Amino acid sequence: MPQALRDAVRAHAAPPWLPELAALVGADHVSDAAPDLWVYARDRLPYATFAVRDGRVPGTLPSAVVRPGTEDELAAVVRFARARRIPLIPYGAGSGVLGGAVPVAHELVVDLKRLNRIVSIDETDLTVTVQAGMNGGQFEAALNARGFTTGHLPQSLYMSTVGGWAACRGAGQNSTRYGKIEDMVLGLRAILPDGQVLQVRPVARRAVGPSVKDLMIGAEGTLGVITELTLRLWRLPEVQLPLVLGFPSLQAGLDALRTVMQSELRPAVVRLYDAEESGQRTSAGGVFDARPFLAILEFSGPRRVAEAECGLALEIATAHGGARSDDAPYHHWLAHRFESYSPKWQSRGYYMDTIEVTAPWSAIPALYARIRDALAALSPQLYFGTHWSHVYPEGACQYMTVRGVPEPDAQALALHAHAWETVQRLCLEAGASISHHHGVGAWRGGWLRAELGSGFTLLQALKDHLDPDNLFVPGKLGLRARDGAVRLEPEGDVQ
Amino acid sequence: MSTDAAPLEGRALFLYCACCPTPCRRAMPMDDAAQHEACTPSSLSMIALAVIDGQLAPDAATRAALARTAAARACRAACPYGFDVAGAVEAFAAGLGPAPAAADAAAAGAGAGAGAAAGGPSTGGAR
Repeated sequence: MPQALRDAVRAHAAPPWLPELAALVGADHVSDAAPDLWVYARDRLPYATFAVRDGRVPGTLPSAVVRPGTEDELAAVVRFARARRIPLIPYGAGSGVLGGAVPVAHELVVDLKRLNRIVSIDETDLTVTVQAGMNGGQFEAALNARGFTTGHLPQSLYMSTVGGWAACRGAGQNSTRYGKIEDMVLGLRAILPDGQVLQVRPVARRAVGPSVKDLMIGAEGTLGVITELTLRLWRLPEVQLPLVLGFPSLQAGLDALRTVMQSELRPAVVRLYDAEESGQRTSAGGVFDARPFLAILEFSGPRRVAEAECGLALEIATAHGGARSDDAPYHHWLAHRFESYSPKWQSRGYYMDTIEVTAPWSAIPALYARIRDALAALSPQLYFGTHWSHVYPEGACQYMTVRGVPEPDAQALALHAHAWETVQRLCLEAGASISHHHGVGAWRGGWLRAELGSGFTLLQALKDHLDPDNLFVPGKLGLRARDGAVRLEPEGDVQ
Repeated sequence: MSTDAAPLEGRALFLYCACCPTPCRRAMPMDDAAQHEACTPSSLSMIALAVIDGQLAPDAATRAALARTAAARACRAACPYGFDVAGAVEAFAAGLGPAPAAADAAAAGAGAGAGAAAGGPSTGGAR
């Protein structure tokens, strides 16, 4: 059971090194005041929300919070931490949902939000260089004002930072056309655990050995702190054309989307909802009476190209039994695409979580059915809804919402953990990947060895070499934890 | 999206906002002072909630944190649910009355020490 906040505050001892840290960045940018420690003790890991709403600390309080204002200050903080053996966690906006930013061993939290400026825009090469702590919504708005977009538009756009996107290897809702963040990052700068600057110069492609850039993208801060990114830019599209479809069965919808992707069309948005989620987004008396499975697509770019692609997609959908509806579900989605559905449930004592995996098309129907049936067998009161977005010629992201009803914590948390174990196990059995874009953090650590096989040994060896004192985000990404660290993830054999 | 959120006030409002991942933060100023997680509406709500529930002492450090509402005021127009969280936090803080005098002078400043704020340091370290 997580510790009560009042007990954690009582147990906190002011770090003796705090004045030295303040000398590096300024006293206004260092704190170990109780309210500050409390708000940095969580991210958006649902388990952390379950604890916070009950006045409990999910892991531990951080030892302190520091907010460097420049890359040089950050490097100084890292060198200081290494010299003093102080574990640390870089922090953007805390929007991660796997607990990557939750302190579990009284880490020093390093808030990067003061690094929040666009460094430059190159209108010839169509690239932008931006500091890691910039808010995603402010970044995209600034680009839009200049006529550009990165095309990276996650639901968390307004509540996340650019560096966080890369650190967790995220995806936006337009990933089908523009790719995931790893497809957009051309170059970066980062501070390694020894305080050195790593620079990957921005170029379109290179053949100089394995990608060093990709050691940082998705490492969740375990191998270094990203300070700056150079991303690909696009001009804002001339048109955005919605295509809303109803399908008679889930299989028909999946087959149609697979055919769209394998026909070399490039929709910006593709979303197919199962019966549960379709029902929440459609009304009776139209296309969806006979074709209850909703799909929302968007084609964008030059008008003539978008119209041609939209027309071809409609032909494919029709050949699979689909029919076009009015655009109301698209406009509703568009109006709320950057909001979260969770507060109304979490604040009422429900136990809501989301799990996203990547599966081949050939595996999706059986994987979906097995998970749905297995969760229903766990508890008939457990809500389960799914949609498929981020689609590719080879497969798709299956995005599942699981929600337990209000009940005593012990029962609810056991069911929550059991649901996670069920989904991840069935996913691995199906040959799918345990995560498409949320990352690993603390919560998924127990499954990483099964996901990566001998690749996990490589990852741990790399971590041990770069960070021999295990100071950077220790215990996350499935990597070795520090002695005495609090365990957030489900107990027991989760592999 | 149906929020089922209005009308909320007091603890229910703070709980709702503490559970919200702050899409409103895009409206916060970009200056240095606002780049502090404790200045977001959700964090202010989290602090207020902890005070209401007796988990956080309403001492000088807590009052100083609850007074940092300037950035959150800018979020009001961007709240998807139409809440004025900064206003609610300011009203809540005003309702706390004067701070207990003695123990808190040191706690209000940056880096003053949560241990002091909670009644004196004791053992830290990982559990």
